[in-house]
Amino acid sequence: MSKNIRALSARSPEGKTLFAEYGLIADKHGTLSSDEIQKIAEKRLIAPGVIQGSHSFYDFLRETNRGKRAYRCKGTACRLSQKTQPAHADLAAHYSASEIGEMACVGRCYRGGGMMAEGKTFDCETLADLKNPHSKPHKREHLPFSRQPLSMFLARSLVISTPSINRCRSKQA
Amino acid sequence: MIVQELERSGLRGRGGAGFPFVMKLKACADMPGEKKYIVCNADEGDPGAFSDRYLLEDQPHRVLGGMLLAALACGARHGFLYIRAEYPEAIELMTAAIAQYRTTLAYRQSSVEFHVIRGAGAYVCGEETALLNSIEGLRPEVRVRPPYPAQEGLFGMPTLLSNVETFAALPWIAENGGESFAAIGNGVSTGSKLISLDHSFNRPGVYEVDMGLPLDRLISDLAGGFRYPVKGLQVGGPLGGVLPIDKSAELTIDFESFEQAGFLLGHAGIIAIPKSFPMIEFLRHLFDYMADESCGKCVPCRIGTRKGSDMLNQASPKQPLDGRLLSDLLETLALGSLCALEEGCRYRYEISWSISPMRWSCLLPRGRSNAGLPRLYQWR
Repeated sequence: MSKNIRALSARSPEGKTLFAEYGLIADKHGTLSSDEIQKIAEKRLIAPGVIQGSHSFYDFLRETNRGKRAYRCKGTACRLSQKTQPAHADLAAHYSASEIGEMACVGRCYRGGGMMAEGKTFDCETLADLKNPHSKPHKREHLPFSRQPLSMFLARSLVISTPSINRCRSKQA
Repeated sequence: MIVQELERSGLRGRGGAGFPFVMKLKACADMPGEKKYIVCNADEGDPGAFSDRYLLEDQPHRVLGGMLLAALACGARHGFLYIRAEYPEAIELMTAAIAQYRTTLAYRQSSVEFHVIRGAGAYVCGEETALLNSIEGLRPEVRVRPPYPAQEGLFGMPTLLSNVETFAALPWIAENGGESFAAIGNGVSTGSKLISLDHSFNRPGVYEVDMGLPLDRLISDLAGGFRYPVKGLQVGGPLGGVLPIDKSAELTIDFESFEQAGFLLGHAGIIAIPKSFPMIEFLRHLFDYMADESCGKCVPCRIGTRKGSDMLNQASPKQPLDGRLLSDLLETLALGSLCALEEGCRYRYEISWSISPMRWSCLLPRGRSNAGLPRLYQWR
């Protein structure tokens, strides 16, 4: 069964996988409707039950995500920081209770009180950006990073080095 | 040539298991197949880890460069970056980086295409075979191995799948040579490692340290100690185990040291547990999390994590916890599950118990205060 579906899924161009299609459709309402599932099933020649079983697995695709616009972090670091409830209260000032959901970890563990809204992540110290999401462009913050003198991750932007590629290509040839 | 350099470097996967990267690469390169794929696992689901987020947002071309080198070495023409939906900025920046890459000579010479796949919120997708199922649009359940992804991976084709940090190390190795990389570290765990420290440290953030650095040196010298009294550290996410704080002086940051002590370095995200935070609350939080995130493929995990969560949530001094029953349940979880999710439960429970036995003993039935303890300690 899985091999058949896998083969059908492989027919799509690499940039337009079945999973990517779930995400694009769910962007509108936060989940997939029965009609949308049926359309995908017919287009991809896959049983609707398979699509139902797949999309209902994910936090951001399942029915309970419908209408959610903001999320607070329920990760371990935020839980231990005791900032989960304040984060919820902050979000509640901008969104109704039914629009606020939870997510596993937004990677703001270095401050705690992580949240996500308007396609950006925030924490207890960058909340000002959330309060004016439209009037002020969200300024991206670099993560606190410390390195040793001999660092592999020193360069902020890497120019993909042609010599490296040439070496690989000569190996292939 | 990159393969020889990688062999010399001794690079091991940074996602948690520490599997030698060159073995995966060679296995994929040696497999016949009309199509091959490179997959970068950027589903950094472990709470407390944000080093991949750093690389994706601040070093996107380094990650792409590593994937490109790997793709050329094993003959792949398509690379996928599976980035979790909880990192929207990383998705945006990586998409922009791919657009930049398409204007380079490297792209014109290699014609390797990269695609960003946005996750949709499932912890188990950090497991490599579940991630492959997810990209294919299937239910992201763990696959039985063999066949390994290098043999039969994405869309049934040979696939090289590795973590963000592993790919990001490749350009440095290509530029400086494998021996330079191997010169860093303790000889077995080579190179440097990114460590994520949470808000409880005086200087939180991402640290790049040599493999083999003493853990207490990282905590006291680099991170400046803790903001408040701490009793334990969760290292390597929910699966890594809870390390009593007095053990930190005995460990070094490498795969072997943690493994020998019965822990996992994992993705090296470190969360400190405050002294004031009850361990029972911590375990409830973790079991609830595991019960939510179990993929459901293995019956012991599907039912057992929920049962464990219920047992911990219902436990109180009036309704004591049956230590022996929980002990049996954890043993079943560890033995009867395909992935590392349940092995982690065992470590968490056992070590949490050792941190605060007094708190636990009040949850046991009267007259059986040590029930379950002997078997728990046998696991160590």
